[in-house]
Amino acid sequence: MSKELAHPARVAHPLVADRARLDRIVDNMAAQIHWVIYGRGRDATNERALPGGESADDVLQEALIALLGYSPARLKTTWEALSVGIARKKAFTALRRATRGRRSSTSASGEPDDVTVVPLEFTMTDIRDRSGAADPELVYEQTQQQLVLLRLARERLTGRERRVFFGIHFDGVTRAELAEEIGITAQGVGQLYLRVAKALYAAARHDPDFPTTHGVPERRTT
Amino acid sequence: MNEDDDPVDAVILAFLDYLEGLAPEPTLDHLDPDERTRAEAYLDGLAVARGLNSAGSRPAIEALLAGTPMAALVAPAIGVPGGDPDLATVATELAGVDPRARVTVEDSAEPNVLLRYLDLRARFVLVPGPVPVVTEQVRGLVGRLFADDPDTSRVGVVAAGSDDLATQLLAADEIGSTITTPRGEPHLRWDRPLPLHLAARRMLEQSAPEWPAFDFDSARIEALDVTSLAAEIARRVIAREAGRSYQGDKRRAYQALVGQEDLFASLVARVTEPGRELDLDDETTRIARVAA
Repeated sequence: MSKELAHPARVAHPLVADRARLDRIVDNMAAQIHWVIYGRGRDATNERALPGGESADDVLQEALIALLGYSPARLKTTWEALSVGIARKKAFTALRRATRGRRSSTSASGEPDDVTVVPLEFTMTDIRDRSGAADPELVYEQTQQQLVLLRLARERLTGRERRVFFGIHFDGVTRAELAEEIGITAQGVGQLYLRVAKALYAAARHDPDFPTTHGVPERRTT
Repeated sequence: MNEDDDPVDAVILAFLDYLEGLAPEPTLDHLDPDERTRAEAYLDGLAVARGLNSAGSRPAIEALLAGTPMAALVAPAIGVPGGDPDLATVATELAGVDPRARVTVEDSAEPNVLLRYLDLRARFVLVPGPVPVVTEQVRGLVGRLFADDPDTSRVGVVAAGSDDLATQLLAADEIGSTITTPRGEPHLRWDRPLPLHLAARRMLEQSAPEWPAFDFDSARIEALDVTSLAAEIARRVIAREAGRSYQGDKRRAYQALVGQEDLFASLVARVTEPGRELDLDDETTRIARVAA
């Protein structure tokens, strides 16, 4: 069934007119989608694809089309906040499609499974609820902060620092696993992560792309 | 207070313990307001960062919207800074990739640049825009190139509007319909676009054929003398059979054939003459009588 677009493509879109803003929003939408689908992911080297073959890029395409198809006349919030809602909704829908009929490994036999937005494997404590119900504006800004942090980490970190920071901060690798991998103690890994994270936040505070309306790890006052 | 005893650090480490299932979630009650604000910002950041794709990047907006009703929205943004590069530019760039490869501009129905190395054939076409978006139209063009020359191994879609001639390389099976397997395995993804010279180099490194060194055996390229060959075979067979411990007529017959091998060679020569029909039973009986 074809659905008529609320905002025909032939009409200039306000976001298209500001390409830098659209790029930031699409970056953020991609991050929201990965957060929903791979929020408990462990292995960054595996190809990111949902069971059934759908990828995060496919979901991003759906979300972007929905965003650009949204009529500016109906907009009651910011495009940024709207993009967060659309991206997360599309990601949850894709996750439901992909996990339909699959049971969580913790569901007892004979009991209903609260399908379907569940991770296929429980490996670490889920911290997604910490920001999951927050104001979309805040979620957008916090995600932008993390994208700036990611860019700075890619630019500045090398070797061991890079492995530790990316492993703990983004990929959910435990300190014990990293310690075994790089040959230092788990305590040393934790200290290295702290040092790198604080240095990156300090650099990010001076980055023009780092939004600071809401919470930011500010410099210590004591 | 020094850097070593920052209570926020302890909270972050305790939060990592919590994430790893080693301890309960830490409270922030013991922190003063400033420390609490800093700690919450760190922990919220950690919660937001978890799962972000730290190893990859998203596709370009033009690529995401290609082939959709929204493609027209970003089409005007596609520009060609500095004018269109032509196929000669592509050929020049490719010629510098590997001296073993031959590069020619093909002036066919679908003009392209052909790169050949042994039996690897790759064709490169230019499409407008800053990224090599494979729209339905481009997909059709690539399909025609594969169909027109089935020996083509790869087709490179080169973005004319990119500074580094960004290229999407495609194999024939990559432009067909995608089939998702029942086991839920991820479908094969295209290689990411690369600048033209890097895309060509990657293709050569991954797909260029390797032929072992070879030479022709000069002894085997002379014209075959069927009569001599038949005489040689007859000599070997008769010598072997005559040497066996047969008794009676069989023994005498084989021994009588020794030295008569040329008769068989002559027979083979006559048999192989065009249009000549012989009764081989009669001929072999005649040879046996001659020998006797």
